[in-house]
Amino acid sequence: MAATITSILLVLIAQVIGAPMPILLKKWSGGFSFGKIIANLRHSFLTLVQLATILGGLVLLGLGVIGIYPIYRDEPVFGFGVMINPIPILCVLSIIAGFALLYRWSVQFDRLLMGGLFCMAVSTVLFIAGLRGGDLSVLYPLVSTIYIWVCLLSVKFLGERMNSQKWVGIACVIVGVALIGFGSS
Amino acid sequence: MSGTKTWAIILVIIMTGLTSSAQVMYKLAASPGASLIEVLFSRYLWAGLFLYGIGFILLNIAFRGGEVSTLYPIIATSYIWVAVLSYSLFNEHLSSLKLIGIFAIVVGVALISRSDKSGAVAEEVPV
Repeated sequence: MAATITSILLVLIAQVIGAPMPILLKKWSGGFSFGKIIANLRHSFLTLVQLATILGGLVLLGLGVIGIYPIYRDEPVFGFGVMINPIPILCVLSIIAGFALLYRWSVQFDRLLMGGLFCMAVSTVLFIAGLRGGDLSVLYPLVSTIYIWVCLLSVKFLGERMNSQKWVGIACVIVGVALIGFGSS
Repeated sequence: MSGTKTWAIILVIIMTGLTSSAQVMYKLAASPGASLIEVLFSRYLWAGLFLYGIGFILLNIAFRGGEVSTLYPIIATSYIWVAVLSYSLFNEHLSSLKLIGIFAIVVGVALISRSDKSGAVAEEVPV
């Protein structure tokens, strides 16, 4: 029944960063059509610079993911705390840089999709880093706050309506996830 | 009120099944003692990624048929599948607290998925 402040903060920030993901994807999937993609492909041909940007982005992404791997496996990384340790920070920066490069290219692609994937990736990395420093019984209740953030954002940006039944349902889900967390430790 | 289609809710539940199986695959891939190379070339890792990708596509299709504030909390059903799968595959303990948690999630998801249909007028909602 314990968690360090760092891991609590990491997990909470991960949920807040992850919350825009469904909003962006909802907007993206609403405007998705195969016809648009085919039309875009017909108009765009990849120049060498574009190809280099994509490759560079993918390489940086891969490096970041491989660097994060020991953290996922719970192996010691030079024995500092998660926050002081330069490796995870470098990995996160590398993932951000990779996405930035892919985003440059994504004029022809789709910025909503890229934004959604970016939120998903950063929040997953922070979440995995945060999970190391605490019990699930403390962290799972924090994880389930994401449903509140997502609903607030969907009211603000998608004009959706909440009703009391939805809030009660979300409260039940949060209690349920918290109980599963308590039961796991 | 736009409302959420039933097929969208069903798609999200199928998607949670796929992503939970993907998580089990990742766990199998990252078995203790496996090196990074072994994990990267593990069949389980790639099967997991494949399932995750299909789940991602299903989620986006589902978003076309409903509200985010209704569909997103339904993703919590994945906690149920993970608990059940790790009980049956890895013999992890399924404590009474976990069972109560699973029950609470089922009730919550049932309430959320019916919330659009009952609308502003309070109806009898069988849980």
